[in-house]
Parts: sequence; C-alpha cells; structure tokens
Amino acid sequence: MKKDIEKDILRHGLTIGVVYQLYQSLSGFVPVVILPLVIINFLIAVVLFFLLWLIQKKENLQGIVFLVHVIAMSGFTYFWVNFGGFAGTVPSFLCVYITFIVIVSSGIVRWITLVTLACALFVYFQFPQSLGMSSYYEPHKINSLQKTIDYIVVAGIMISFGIFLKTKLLYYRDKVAQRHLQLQKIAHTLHLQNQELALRQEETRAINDNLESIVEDRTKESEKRYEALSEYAFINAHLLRGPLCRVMGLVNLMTREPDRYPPDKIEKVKTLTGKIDTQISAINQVIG
Amino acid sequence: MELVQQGKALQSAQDHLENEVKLREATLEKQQNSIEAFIRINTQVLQEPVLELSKAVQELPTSGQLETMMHISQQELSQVLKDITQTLEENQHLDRSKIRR
Repeated sequence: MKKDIEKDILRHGLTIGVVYQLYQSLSGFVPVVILPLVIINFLIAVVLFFLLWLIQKKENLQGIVFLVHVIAMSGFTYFWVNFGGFAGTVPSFLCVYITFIVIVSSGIVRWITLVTLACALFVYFQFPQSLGMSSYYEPHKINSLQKTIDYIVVAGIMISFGIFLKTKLLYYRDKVAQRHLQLQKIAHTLHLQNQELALRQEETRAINDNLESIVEDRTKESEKRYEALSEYAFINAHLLRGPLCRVMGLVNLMTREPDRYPPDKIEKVKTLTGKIDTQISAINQVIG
Repeated sequence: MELVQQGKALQSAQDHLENEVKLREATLEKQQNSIEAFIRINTQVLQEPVLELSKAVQELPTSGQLETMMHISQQELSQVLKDITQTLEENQHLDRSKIRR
C-alpha cells in the first residue's frame, strides 16, 4: 500500500510539473518572446511527460524518482542563475519540491536527492561566482509581474496537491475499512467453522459412547449365552453321561452271566446305550 | 470446506464401524442360535432311545443287586433328560443345581 501511495503522488506531481512547464513555455511569449526560456520549459515539460508515461509502464519507482531529480536539479540551477537566484521563484519551488521528494522517495534514492539538494544550495549561496552570478540575490533579473503570477501558480499547485492528498487519504481509508470488513467476515466464518467443528466433535463423542454401550451390552449378552452353553456342556458331560456310563458298566457285568440275563435283552440294552452315548458325544463336540 | 470433508469422512468411518459391529453380532447370534437349535433337536432325539432303554431295562430280571443299580441309573438318566427338555422348552438357562438326580 505504501508503494501505491508513493506511485500515486509521483504521478500527480509529474502531471502538475508537465502542466506548469507548458504554462511557463507559453508565458515565455509574453510580453516579448524569450526563445531559450520557451525551449527549456518545453523540453522539461516533454521530459516530465515522458517520465509520466514511463511510470505507467515501469515498476522501478525509485529509478524514476532519481530521473525526476536530475531533471529538476538542472532546471532549478538554470532558473536560479538566470532569474534572480534567491530573489526569484526558485526558493519557493524548492520548498515544494523537497516536500514532494521526501514523500515519494525512499532508501538510498532519498539520501542521494537530499544530499544533492543540500550541496546545490551550498554552492548557490556560497559560490555564486562559480555559476556566473555576482551574488545569490539578484532582484534586477526578475520581472515582478512574472514573479507574482508564478506565486499564484505555486499556490494553485499547493491547493491542487492538498486536494489530491485528501482524495487519496479518503480513498485509502475506504480501502482499509473494506479490508477491515473483509477480515471481520473471515473471522466470523472462522468462528462459525469452529462452532461446527465443536458440534461435530460432540456428535462423534456421542456416537462413540453409544457404540461402546451397544458393544458392551451385546458382549454381556453373548457372555451370558456362552455361560449357558458351558453349563449345558457340563450337564451333558457329567449329569447325563454319568448314569449312562453306570448303565453301560452294569450291562458289561451282566454279560458275564448269560444264564441269568438273556443275551438278546442285554444286547438290546447295549445297542441303546451305545446310541445314546454317540448322541451325547455329538452334542458335547459341538458345544466344546 | 476441508472441515466438512473431514466431518463426512469421520461419519463414514463411524458408520462403517457400526455396520461391522452389527455384522459381527449378527454372525455370533446366528452361530449361537444354530448351537441352541442343535441342542434342542438332539435332546429331542435322545428322548426316544432313553425311553426305549427304560423299557428294555424293565424287561430284565429284577431280583439282584445289579438290576436294582441298573434301574436306579436308568431312572436317573431319564430324570436328567426330562429336566433338560423341560428347561429348554421353557426357554430358561440350564442350571446344574436344578437338575434332579
């Protein structure tokens, strides 16, 4: 977002620069044509327009800021030398420019621009002779009407810049408010999802408890039935088979006395006890 | 979205587990029922030879000690079988202490 703001301000500043330089180019025709001034102003306008176009294409914002600074410093030096130095309009423009450059630049580019500006001002004031000036203050080189008009234009630029900043501030504030609203919605959604998760966990726990209870009941029932079967196995093996074995033993003893016990009857009893024994064994095999 | 999918997966796993438990229970119950049915049938089947044995024993001479013991054992066998049959017919669990000897 910081980068977006810097880009917007730079674009706006360049637009103002282009308009202002065009105005200066046209004002060079009045009251008499000062051709070099017209050409220089127009050239600066063209270069600034080119940078304005470049800013739409290129992402390297700080590089463009640096180029703007090179153009601006050349322009300032030219106008400082030819239009009265400190008596002219350059100081007021410098104030606006410094504010602008502090807002849109960052990092190493900011330091380069500020140090360059400080060095230029130092040369402007301390060594005016090196620039071909007799003093840093040459009021005779300026047109007072032109200066007044320039100040009015600068005031217009400042007002325009203020309005622009206010508009942008409101725009970004709305953007932040929208983002805040989105975050609130996301938080609400997350809250609902958490609630749903808790509900599902509760459902899962209830189902598990119920399942455990069912399994426990069935296991008990199964154990009970198993015990019943075991009991039956015991009864079969001991209580039922006991008297049968005794009968079988007695029959064997009776076999030894064929005179007393008719063999056919003994054989019948033997067959029946064998049959019963087989049946009981079959049951025990299944249960056991 | 992911939460809903996880919930569905969990529900599906639980349903599967529940079905598995039900299936096992059904199999176990079926096996137990089969055993019980087998016992009932065999107990019924036993009645006939035991009755015949009772008749055959009665046909034997009754004066000696062996015959007396034979009668007692045969009666005990009949009584135990009768008690088992009665308990099963009444759909009650067998209890060795309730079987008369």
